[in-house]
Amino acid sequence: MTTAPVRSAPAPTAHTDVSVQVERLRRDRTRTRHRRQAWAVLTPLVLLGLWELATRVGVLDERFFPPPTAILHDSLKFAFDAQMRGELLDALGQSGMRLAVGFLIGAVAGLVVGLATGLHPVTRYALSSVVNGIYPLPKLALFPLMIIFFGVGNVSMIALIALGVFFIVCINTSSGVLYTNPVYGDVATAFEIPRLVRLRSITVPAAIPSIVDGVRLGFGQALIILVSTEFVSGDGGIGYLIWNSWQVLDVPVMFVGLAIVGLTGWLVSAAITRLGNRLAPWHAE
Amino acid sequence: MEPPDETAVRIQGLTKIFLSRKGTAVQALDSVDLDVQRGEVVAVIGPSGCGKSSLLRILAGLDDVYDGRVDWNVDGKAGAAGPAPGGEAHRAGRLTSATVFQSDSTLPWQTVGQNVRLGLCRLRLERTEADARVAEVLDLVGLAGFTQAYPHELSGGMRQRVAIARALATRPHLLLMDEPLAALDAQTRLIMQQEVLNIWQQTRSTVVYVTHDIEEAVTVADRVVVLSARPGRIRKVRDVPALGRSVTDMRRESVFGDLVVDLWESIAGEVGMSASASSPASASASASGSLPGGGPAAEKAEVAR
Ligand SMILES: Nc1ncnc2c1ncn2[C@@H]1O[C@H](COP(=O)(O)OP(=O)(O)OP(=O)(O)O)[C@@H](O)[C@H]1O
Ligand SMILES: [Mg+2]
Repeated sequence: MTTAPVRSAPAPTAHTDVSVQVERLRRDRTRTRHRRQAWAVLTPLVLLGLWELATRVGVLDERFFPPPTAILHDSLKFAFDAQMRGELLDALGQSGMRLAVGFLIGAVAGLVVGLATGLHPVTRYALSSVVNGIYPLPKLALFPLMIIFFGVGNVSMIALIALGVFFIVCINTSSGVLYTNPVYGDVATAFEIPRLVRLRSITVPAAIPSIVDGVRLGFGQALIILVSTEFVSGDGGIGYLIWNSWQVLDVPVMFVGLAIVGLTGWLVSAAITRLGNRLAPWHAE
Repeated sequence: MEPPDETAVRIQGLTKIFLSRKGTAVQALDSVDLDVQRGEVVAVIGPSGCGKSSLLRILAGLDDVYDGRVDWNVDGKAGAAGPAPGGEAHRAGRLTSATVFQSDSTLPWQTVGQNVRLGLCRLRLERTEADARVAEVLDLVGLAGFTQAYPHELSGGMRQRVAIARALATRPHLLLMDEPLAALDAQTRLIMQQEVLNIWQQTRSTVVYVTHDIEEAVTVADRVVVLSARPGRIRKVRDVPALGRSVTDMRRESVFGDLVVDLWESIAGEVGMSASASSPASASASASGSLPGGGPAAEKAEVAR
C-alpha cells in the first residue's frame, strides 16, 4: 500500500533446526498407518485360523463348515477346470452387469433428485412423504411389483437394485445439501455468485461427505438386493451360484460365492471411502 | 420517495423480530433509523446480542423479513429490494456489496487463493487481473505464502483474514464487516486497521463496520453508532473528528481518548454496569483492561484529563 506506516513483517524464518522433530512426526504418522493396516489384515486372518482349528478338532461340522484351506483348495478347481471356470465367469458377468447398471442408474437418479429436493423447498415438501414412506420397505418385498412392471429377467432385478440405491443416495444427498453450514449459502448470496458456479463450487462440495456416505451405503444395499433377487429368480449370477450349491450341498462352492460377494463389498466400499477422502480432503480423518 | 443522492443506505423504522423454534418472539432490533452517506464509514457497537449482526445481514440482503424500510442507493443496487443485479457496477470491476461474516466463512474445499477468487467470479475479470487482485489482497492481509493452503491448515485468525481479503478484493461499493478483526491479536489488529483504512481511502467504499472494540470503532469510523441492549435501539451517534490516517498517530490525539471514554460509558450503561459508579478515569482503566489493544489510547485518555 501507499503510505502505510505500519507494515506486516516479512515471513519469519525458522530459527532453530526442527528437522529432527519433523522427522519424528513423519515416522509417527507412518507407524499409525502401518498399525491400522496390520489390524485390518490380522483380524480376519486370525478368525480364519480359528475357524480352521475349530473344524480340524471337530468343534464345527466339516460338512457345513469346511476348513478355509479346503475352500481354498476347491476354489482352485475354478481356475483349472475349464467348465467350472466358464460357469463362474458367466455368473460373475451376469451379476456384475446387474450390479453395475442398477447401481449407476440408482446413484445418478438419487443424486439428481436429492439435489432437487435439497435445493427446492416445494419439491422437498412434495416428495418427502413419498420418499420416506417407500424407503423403509424391505426392497425384496417390492420384487413382485417389479416383475409385474418389467417381466421376469434382468430388467426387473436391475430396477429393484436401482430403486434401493436411489433412496439411500437421494436421502443422503438432500440432507447433505440441507444441513451444511448456512454460512456457505450466505457467502454465495452476499457475493452474488452466479447459479451454476454456486451449485458447482458451493452446494455440491458442501454436500460431498454426505453424498459419499450415501453412495457407500447404497452399494451395500445393491449387493444385498442383487444376491437376494438372484436367490429367488433362479436366473444365474453369484446369488444363484450360492443358493444352488447349497441345494446340492456343494458347500465349498457356496463359500467361494460368499467370499466373492464379501470381498466385492469390502473392496468397493474401501474404494468409495478413498474417493471421498480425495474429493473432500478437509473432511478426511 | 427517492433518497437523496449522497445517502448510500437509508434505514427507517427498522424492526426485526425472530421467532424461536418454539414460536416465542425475540425482538432483535427496535425502530432503528440510520442514514449512511456515500463513502462514509459507520461503526456499530453495542452489547452482545443486541442485534448488530441482524442489522448487517439485513443490509447485506441476506435477510428480507423485517418491518420498516431499507433503501439502498449504492451503485448497482438501488431500491428497497435486496441485492439487485447491477450491470454498471460490475463493468467497473467492483461488486455492489461484500460482506465479512462474524463466523468462519471460508470454504473448506477451496484453497485460500480459490476462496478469494470465488468472490470475484461475478465480476468476470480477466484472468491476469483476477490473479493480480488475489495476490494483492493476500499480501495485504499477510497471507502471501498461503495461497495454496486449505483453510483447515490455518488458524482461526488467518481464516478470518482470508474472509477479509475476499471481501476487499471485490472493491465493493458497500462493505459490510461483522467483527472482522475480533479473532486477531492486538498487534495484527492494529496493522489490519491501518490496512483497511488505506484501502477505503483508495476505493472510497461505504462501510458499515460492526465491532465490540470501542477503540477500533473510533479508529476506523467517521461515525460511531451505539446500540442499546436487546432489542437494539440507537442509543447514541457520535461523529469522529478527522484524526489523520495513521492508526498510531490518531491514538496520540486527546479527542481520541475522550471519545473512547465517552462511548465506553454509554456502553457500560447498556451492559448493565453502573456507569455513574465508575469515574471516567477508572472507566478508561477498565476499558484498557478489557481491550488488549487499548494500552496507548487509555493512557492518552488520562493524560488528556
Ligand atoms: N436465527 C435466529 N433465531 C432466533 N433468534 C435469533 C436468531 N438470530 C439472532 N437471534 C436473536 O437476536 C438477537 C440479536 O442477535 P445478533 O446476532 O444480531 O446479535 P449481535 O449484536 O450480533 O451479538 P454479538 O455481538 O454477540 O455477535 C439475539 O438475542 C439472538 O438471540
Ligand atoms: Mg454478531
